[in-house]
Amino acid sequence: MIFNTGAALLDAIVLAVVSRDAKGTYGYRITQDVRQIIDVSESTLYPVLRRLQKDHCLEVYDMEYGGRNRRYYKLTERGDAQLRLYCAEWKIYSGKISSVLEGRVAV
Amino acid sequence: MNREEFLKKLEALLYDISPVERENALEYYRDYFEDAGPENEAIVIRELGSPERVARTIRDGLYGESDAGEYTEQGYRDQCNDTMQAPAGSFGQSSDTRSQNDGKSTEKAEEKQKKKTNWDASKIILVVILCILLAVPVGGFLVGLAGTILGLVIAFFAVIFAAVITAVSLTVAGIATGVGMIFASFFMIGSPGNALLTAGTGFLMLAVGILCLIFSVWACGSLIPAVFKGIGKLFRKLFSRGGARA
Repeated sequence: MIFNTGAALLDAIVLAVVSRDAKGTYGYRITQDVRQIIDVSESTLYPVLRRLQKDHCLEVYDMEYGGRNRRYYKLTERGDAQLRLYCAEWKIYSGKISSVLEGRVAV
Repeated sequence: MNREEFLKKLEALLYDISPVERENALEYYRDYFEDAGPENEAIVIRELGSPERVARTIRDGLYGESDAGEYTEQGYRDQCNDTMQAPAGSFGQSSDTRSQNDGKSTEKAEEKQKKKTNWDASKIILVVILCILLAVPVGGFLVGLAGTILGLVIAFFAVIFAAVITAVSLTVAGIATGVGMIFASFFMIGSPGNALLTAGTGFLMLAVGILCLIFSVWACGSLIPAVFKGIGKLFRKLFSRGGARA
């Protein structure tokens, strides 16, 4: 991957990945899912999840799984709004980039 | 290194962050290992790199929160790429890592620049403080010196003034007394010895008075102008030397 992933885009991807499961999902799975999309190291995701949680975009809850507590992450209303904003922005941004890269824009 | 050692090391490395944050991070990585399963333990440890690296990522996440720099066009930076310990086997890493490192090095250069500027500013402040500290005793010394010179000059003038006054008074007194005594001797016909003594003393006094008159005239005509000239010369010398020093 030669394109850097900005912090906002990484946030957007994480929010999108978490939002796929209405009941929420857990750290390991989020990491694996994100890593299928972009190349980030495994240690990258924890600070992002923690920040999104502090920004009230994600909420956490513990649920028993296999005899232990597992921490789940779930989108808040605010997180949902943020994700929608990211999606709208991305559409504009990626549309412009695609246009110019594919030579469909007459400057 | 196994999972327990990894987590223990991580906990030790995070000693300086708040207990809540530490526990939260450790809980996350404990979960992470659990969910990866024992069969993937070695892979996860290899992928995470070192506990030091993970600790740095956590800390950077905590303190970099309000840092707007994270949202610049340079993109998201994995702060730990400088000590990249991820295995060679991780996917598509090379080009990505390079571009991330570029951003990182730019950031480092900027930081260096900032530090340098700060250092320059502090240096200037230090120099100014030193100058002020030096100026106090030097200024005091100069004021003292000027005061001393002024005092000496005033004393010198006073001495000359006193000498002139004395000479003038002696002139007046000598001549007056001499003339008075010579006159008085004329009325002492009855005792010629006394008359002669008085007249002699009168002439002596007259002589002293005339001597003082001569001295006074010389003093006013030559000595005082010479002294003034000398002082003027001295000051000119002082000022010209001061100009040369500056």
